[in-house]
Amino acid sequence: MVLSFVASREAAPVAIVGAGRLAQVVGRTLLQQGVPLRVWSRNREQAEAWTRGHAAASAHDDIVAACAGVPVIILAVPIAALRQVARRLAPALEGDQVILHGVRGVEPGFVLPHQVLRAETCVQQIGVLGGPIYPPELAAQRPMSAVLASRFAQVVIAARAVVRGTPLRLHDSRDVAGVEVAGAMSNVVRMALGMAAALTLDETARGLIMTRGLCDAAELAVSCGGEASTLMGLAGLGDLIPRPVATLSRHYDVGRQIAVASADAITHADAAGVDGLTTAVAATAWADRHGLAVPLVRAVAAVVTGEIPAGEALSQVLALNFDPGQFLAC
Amino acid sequence: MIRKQKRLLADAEGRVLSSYVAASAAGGPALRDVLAESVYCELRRLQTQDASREKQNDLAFWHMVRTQLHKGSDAAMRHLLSRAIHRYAVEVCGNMNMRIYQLMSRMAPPALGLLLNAWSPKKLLTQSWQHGALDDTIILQGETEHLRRLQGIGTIILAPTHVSNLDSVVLAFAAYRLGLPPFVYGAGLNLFGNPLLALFMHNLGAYTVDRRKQDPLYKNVLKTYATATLRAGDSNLFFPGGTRSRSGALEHHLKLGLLGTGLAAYTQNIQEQRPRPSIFIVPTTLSFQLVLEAETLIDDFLKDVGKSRYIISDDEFAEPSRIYDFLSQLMALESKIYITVGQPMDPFGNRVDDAGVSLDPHGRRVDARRFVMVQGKVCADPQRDAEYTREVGARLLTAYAQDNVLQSTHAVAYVVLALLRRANPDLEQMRLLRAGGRVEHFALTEVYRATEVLLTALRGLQRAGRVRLAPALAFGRADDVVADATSHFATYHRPPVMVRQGDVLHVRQRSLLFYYHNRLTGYGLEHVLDVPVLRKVG
Repeated sequence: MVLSFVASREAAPVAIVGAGRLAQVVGRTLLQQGVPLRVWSRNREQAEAWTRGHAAASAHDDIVAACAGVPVIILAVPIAALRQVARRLAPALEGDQVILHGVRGVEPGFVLPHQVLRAETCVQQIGVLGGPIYPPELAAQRPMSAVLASRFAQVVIAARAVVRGTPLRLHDSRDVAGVEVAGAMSNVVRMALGMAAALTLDETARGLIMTRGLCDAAELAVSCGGEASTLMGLAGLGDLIPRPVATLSRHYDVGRQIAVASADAITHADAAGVDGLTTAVAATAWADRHGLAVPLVRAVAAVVTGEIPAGEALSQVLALNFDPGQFLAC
Repeated sequence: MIRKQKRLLADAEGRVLSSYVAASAAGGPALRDVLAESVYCELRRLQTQDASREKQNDLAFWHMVRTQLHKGSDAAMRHLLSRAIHRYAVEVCGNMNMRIYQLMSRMAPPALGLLLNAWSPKKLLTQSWQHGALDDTIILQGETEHLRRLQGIGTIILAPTHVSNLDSVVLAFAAYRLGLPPFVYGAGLNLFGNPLLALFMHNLGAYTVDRRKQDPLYKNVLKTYATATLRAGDSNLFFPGGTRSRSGALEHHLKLGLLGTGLAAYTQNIQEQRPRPSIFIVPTTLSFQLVLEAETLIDDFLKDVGKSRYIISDDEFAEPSRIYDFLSQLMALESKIYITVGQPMDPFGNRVDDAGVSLDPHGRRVDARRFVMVQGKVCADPQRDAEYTREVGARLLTAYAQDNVLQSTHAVAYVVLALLRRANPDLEQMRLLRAGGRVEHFALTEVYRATEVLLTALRGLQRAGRVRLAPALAFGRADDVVADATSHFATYHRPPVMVRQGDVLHVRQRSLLFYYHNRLTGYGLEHVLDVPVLRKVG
């Protein structure tokens, strides 16, 4: 008790923006290490609900009050809310602060999360968390690996200091765009896998969809200044493999529903703000502008915009000749 | 002033030496290895050099270093390194005669104006020399007031696009007209070939950069000297493109080494609590309707990759008569040279306001010092600082594209090259440029129609703030634009780029067409001229 008190006195506070599943689990993990937290969420009750009873954690009404002067800020909000949150956060920020974000998806126009943060705030020291982070497993204190990508070595040092002692192990990368594209695209691929499952396609088809998805993601990453090899790492392949097994993913379920009852399911998913839908459509428009093939992304976009049924779209992709050279050429 | 110069030089030498000594003590490369690298780079460079007294001296020095490398003690190595550094430092700026510098910094810009105006005797007779033809020719626009205000608040780094060797002359005149002191800048050794302009450049604050020298020690001395001048409050001029654009296109890749000295100087200023620590980086975009060295530059670009020369010493700039012809024809055509001063920024890429305070994307004031702080302390961090400088580079490229002033020659070259490609669809572009196509002339009506289409697209880009247009393009009719471009293209270049005969336009120099056309690349205009199907002229 005394030890944790001393630790909490010494550790610099961390601000957490958002009160979703990821925010809560990361917050609790940090609290266990005695890291003082300042929490802000659009939904104050939610923030209060999980910080209640923790002396080192405080829920704030004002995002500026929560984040001003805090060296490390963790952003765990949906992509749809990111720009608005960043705009509200901006007045709290100065150049020496670090923002770590776990935001998945892209804005319409294929704008990546770090680009939103750069456009709205003065902070340049940005890190993105990617890879197979599963809140339930982290909550159960199981060892977990994630990627932390930043152009700044200082960000990696700060992030490691924050998670020290937790079961979370951070693997560093410099490819911010690559990790963000990987995170956004794995939701699209998982939707396609959900569709394949609903259509009772065989395992070969699933293998092909995953590989094709990685290739498409690599092409997109390179067109954003990222590296194709990132997709072969923890943020790409490593992120794609575990989830379908656990069938935890919301995107997987959405894919299944769309394949079975397309129109209703699409309307429903769109209303629920499933980011994979936006990503697929934005990526297709981006691919048109940059002359990229990305057949699987195009197929998913065609399905979610109601152009063709899932079965037809997927069988078109599966019929294409697969050229691994395409991946290596990226 | 001479004392100041000597102090800067001594300061730079001391810093370079102690950085190597400290690095070596911290487990970095030994001084012996640093010297060995220099010996290798220099002896390799000297192999390709023509015989001269300079070469003899260099060879003697580096051979001496080589023989000492394996014998001397650590103290001897340190002494040897300091000698090598001193040699480089003297070469970089030791030739500057400060008396002439002082005289010239007061005299040169008006004298330059007189000189340039004198090349157009007709105008000299009708207008006063100081506010005469040159004032009409050089249009200074953009954030000029902002720049002038910042001059009193901190130190400026002017970062212009590089089109021609006349850039530094034109910018020196602009600085004079804005009431700014002359800029310190690095000029390639090859520029001193033209005796007349060498006199001006040498004495307008230019220090020497020998781009043939690849030795990291040399580059370090150069950067440290630039940093020292910035810390002393001398505004600098860097061409971040490194060299003149060969293709005629805007810069798309920048050399960030020298640019990074701004951040280094800023950090040191803060650490030493200097009174005016701020450094402002100001993107500047130059636009010429005709370019003096266009032929040499584009020829060099079109040579096979790898054969092109990074340093050209025998171009049009080396012939005073060519410069005379060029300027007098430019003035006779009432041509314009646009200098567009962009939004000034701090060494982290943030915009700054009139008072020199950094702003966030929403215009809120932020403390620039915080960008170089770690846990409340100001410190240099090479990795972080390189990222900041990369950001500055990206902002510069955006500014260049937005402030690029397109003129009639660029637009019409774009149109005619598009027509040329369409008329010869079976030829790949490089082949078309080198060997020519079957059809090389077009009816004027066809050129007008295509120009009209392009103008509509360009005006759209201008409204969106993505590019600037000269008044002729912004408001003029297509036929006037074409007429203005053809009169430019028919004069200075030999043979002319294109000539008009009756109602038909004949292409004469395809490579120059390509050169001027390239100023429009990067704006997504590729498909604009594909839309209307135009009739071929038989």
